[in-house]
This record gives sequence, C-alpha cells and structure tokens, in this order.
Amino acid sequence: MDKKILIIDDDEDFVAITKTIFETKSFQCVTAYSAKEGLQKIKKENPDLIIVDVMMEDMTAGFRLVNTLRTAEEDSEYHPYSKIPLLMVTVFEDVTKIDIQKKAGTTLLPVDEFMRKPVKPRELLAKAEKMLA
Amino acid sequence: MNMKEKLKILIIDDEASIRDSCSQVLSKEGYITETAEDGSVGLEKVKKTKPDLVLVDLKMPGISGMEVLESLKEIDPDIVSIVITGYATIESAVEAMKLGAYDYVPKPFTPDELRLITNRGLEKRRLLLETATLRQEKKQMEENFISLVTHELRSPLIAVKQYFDVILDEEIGGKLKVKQKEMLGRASERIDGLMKLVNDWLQMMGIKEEEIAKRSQDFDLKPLLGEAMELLQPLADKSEVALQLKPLDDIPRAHGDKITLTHVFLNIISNGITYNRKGGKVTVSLREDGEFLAVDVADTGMGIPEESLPLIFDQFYRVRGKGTRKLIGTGLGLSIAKRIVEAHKGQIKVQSTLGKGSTFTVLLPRAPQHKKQKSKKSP
Repeated sequence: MDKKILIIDDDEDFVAITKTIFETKSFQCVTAYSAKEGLQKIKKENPDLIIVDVMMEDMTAGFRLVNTLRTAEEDSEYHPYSKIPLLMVTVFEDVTKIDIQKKAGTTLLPVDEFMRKPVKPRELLAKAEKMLA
Repeated sequence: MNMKEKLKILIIDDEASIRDSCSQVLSKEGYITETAEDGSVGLEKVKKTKPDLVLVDLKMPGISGMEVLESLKEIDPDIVSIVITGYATIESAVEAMKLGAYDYVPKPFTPDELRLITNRGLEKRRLLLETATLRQEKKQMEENFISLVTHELRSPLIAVKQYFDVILDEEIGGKLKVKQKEMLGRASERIDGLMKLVNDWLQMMGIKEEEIAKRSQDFDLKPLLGEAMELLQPLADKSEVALQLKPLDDIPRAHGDKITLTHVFLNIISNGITYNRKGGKVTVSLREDGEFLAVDVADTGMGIPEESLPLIFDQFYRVRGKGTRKLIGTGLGLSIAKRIVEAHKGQIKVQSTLGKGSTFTVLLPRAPQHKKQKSKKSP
C-alpha cells in the first residue's frame, strides 16, 4: 500500500482531512494548495492518483488543471502524467447550478470520478481504492 | 476628436440629394457615415453595421419611416434616431417621438442645424450606453455576490462537517466514548441543518423569473415526476411510506424549467413522506385543469391545522405539533416551491384534513400550440 495520492485544494482543512483519511490506510499523501502548485507537484511527485478541487485561484482553476493534463501532447512536459487517474471534488455545482456530474468522463470534463463536498470518508476511500486498483 | 471617428451614422432617405448632403456634412464632422435608399435596406444596414445614430426620412416608398422606427428599437434598444420630415407637421413629429425617435429635423435644414441636432443625439447615445454598461455591471455584481456568498458560507460549513465525519468514523478517527459519539453526532446533525438552510436561502435568492423563462421548454411531466419519485424511494422505504404514481393517460406537455420544477416536486413529495405515518402512502397524480396541467400530491399524514394553512407557504413558517418536533426542516422549502411555481405563472395550493392527510396541487402552464398535436409524425 505505498500508492501516492496528490491532494490539490485551496481549503487547508479539506486537505488536512483528506490526508488524515488516506494516511490511516497507509497511503502516502502529498499536498498542493493551488492549481499552479498542483501542476508543479504532479511533475515532482508523479502521483498514482490526483484529488483536485475546482474553485481555487479562480472559479475554474481545477477545470484547467485537468484539461492541461488530459490534453497534453507528446511534446508537452505534462505528457508523462496525462493518464494519472483524476478524482474531482467540489461544491462547484451548488454555486453554478451546472450539473457537472453528468459531464464527468467526457471531453468536457476529462476526470475519472467526481464527488460532491462534503464527501463521506468511507465513500472517498472506496472510490480511491477502486481507481487505484 | 478621436472618439468622434468611431461613431457611425446611418442616413435612410429615398432622396439621393439628401443622403449625399447629410453624408458630406457629417463626414466632415469626423463621423463614419453610411446611407440607405429605403427602409428595408436601412434596417439591414442597422443590423450589420450597428450605427450609433440613424437619420430617417418619414416619407419613403416601401417600409415607411414610422415602421423603421418601430423596428430599430428591437435591433438596438439604445440606438438614437432622428426623423427627417418634409411635411413638418406637429402630428407626424409627435407620433415619431412616441415611437422612440429622439428628435426631428424639418426639411429644408441647414448644415448647422443638422450638425447641432446630430451632436446632441450622439451625446444622448453616449449617456444611454453608459447607463446600459452600469446596468450590466450592477447585474453582474448581484450575480457574483450570490456566488461569492454561497462559496464563502458553504466552505467553512463543509470543512466542519468533514471533520465531524472523520471523527465519527472510528475506524479512521479512533475510538470514541459513547457520550462523545452521541454529542458529536448531534453537533454534526446541526451542521447539516445549517448547511441546508444556507442552501435553501441561497436558492431562494437565485429564483428569477426571467432566468426561469429563459430555461423554459416544452416537456412531459410524467418522466419528470417519475424521476423525482425514484430519487425519493430510499427516503420512502426508510419511512415505511408507499409511493404511487397514478397511471396517466395522454396528458399534454407542460412548459417550464425542468431543473427548478424537479426541485418543487422533490420538495412536496418528500414533505408528503416526512409528514406521514408508518404504513402510509403518497399518491402523485396528473390531470388537466382548465388552462393548466395539475399535479396532485396526496399524503396520508397528520394533516395541517386549518389556522396554519394560510401560513405554510411563508418563509420560515413551520407547523408546530407533537408529530413535527423531531423533524429537521428549515421552513423554507414550501416558500421556495411557491416562488418557483409563481415564476412559471402557475399556482400552488393545499387542502388538508387533520388526521387524514394533505393534498398539494401544483398548476403549471401547458406547452403552447400542442393542444391537438397527438401524433408525432408530420403529415
């Protein structure tokens, strides 16, 4: 169980909680507090799973991050990381009334899974374990 | 002078000499001018080049100046139009002003008169555009304000909730004393309640008639009700209440915003489940009611005391009674439902018999022009 999870969220509490949840199951956790820092950490840490928020530096920072990763061409510095499983966690829907759950997995929102905050610890664990399997 | 160069003036007149002389005078002033020989060419050019000001002759073959004036405001509500009139009677000028013309210039006119009146018209245009920008900014601010408040209010609540979830999950957070677990559980429930209140309140702020109208479409109520009931099935199972959708015949399509209406039915049906008795049922049925389509949601619950009936759609009103004390609610659900339904130009009503149950009825407008169209094939 030495899988490495990168948690990207500007809410320090959310990062701390998520880290606690995964560390009890002896996952290795690395953290970033903005999309910008997140992209740096992706290159530095090469995680097995990325958990990412939507609203950070601005309303859509998380969307841009997942798009940067997923659409990285071969000559891009992010290309080696373009297939890392992505789990998006957000309250975005409540703010914008846009139903993004339905868009998860499409080219519009190229993430593998999507969860609404607040997330239940057990559901988060179960989803992450499934994604890492 | 730089500002002037960007301003566009369109001259619509069937007389070539007027077009040319106006164009000459106004080009010299530094405006971009364009001309059209009749009303329909003129309107096309308005759509294409979006002029700031239009000079229009009242008496032209084809589309008249008056008709041009009427169409102009639809293309650009802030456009300034000045009427050129050969028969400078007060009546025609007054009528033109009624149709939204800013001013009129009687034929024959001198270049100075033309310059004066156009400059004044363009000053008006500048003011109109400024107002429009301010209005837009204000609207933007209001919208952003709600988004911002939503995020700022929800984020801390969600963080607190997440801490509770982790602490209460003993496998993750470690063993708790029974008393601790009980108190933390209660605290967590209160946070849920507060979160729901914030959501409800913000939703209420967000209900705007024009937005609902923009999202409205023709749709079938039956699948929408079916989906809402499916979502509520777990709650019904837990409460041991049966959910029933009455068989529906050929019911015309409704017209409305599916997202907010789903919310209305979720709210009313879940009320029917929550304020019910064990072994009770909630029946949802659909019928035509005059010009409306009616959805009835009937429960077999405790009913609502008569004196409370006029109040249940008010904000924060909750029926107090022995059966309701333990139920968590914000007192906003029905007032939100009412606002949504009324924004659809519909109605929401209730009938109730104490001890027997209540029936909520939602009246919604029908889809237009679908009254006789039963077969989907075109002839």
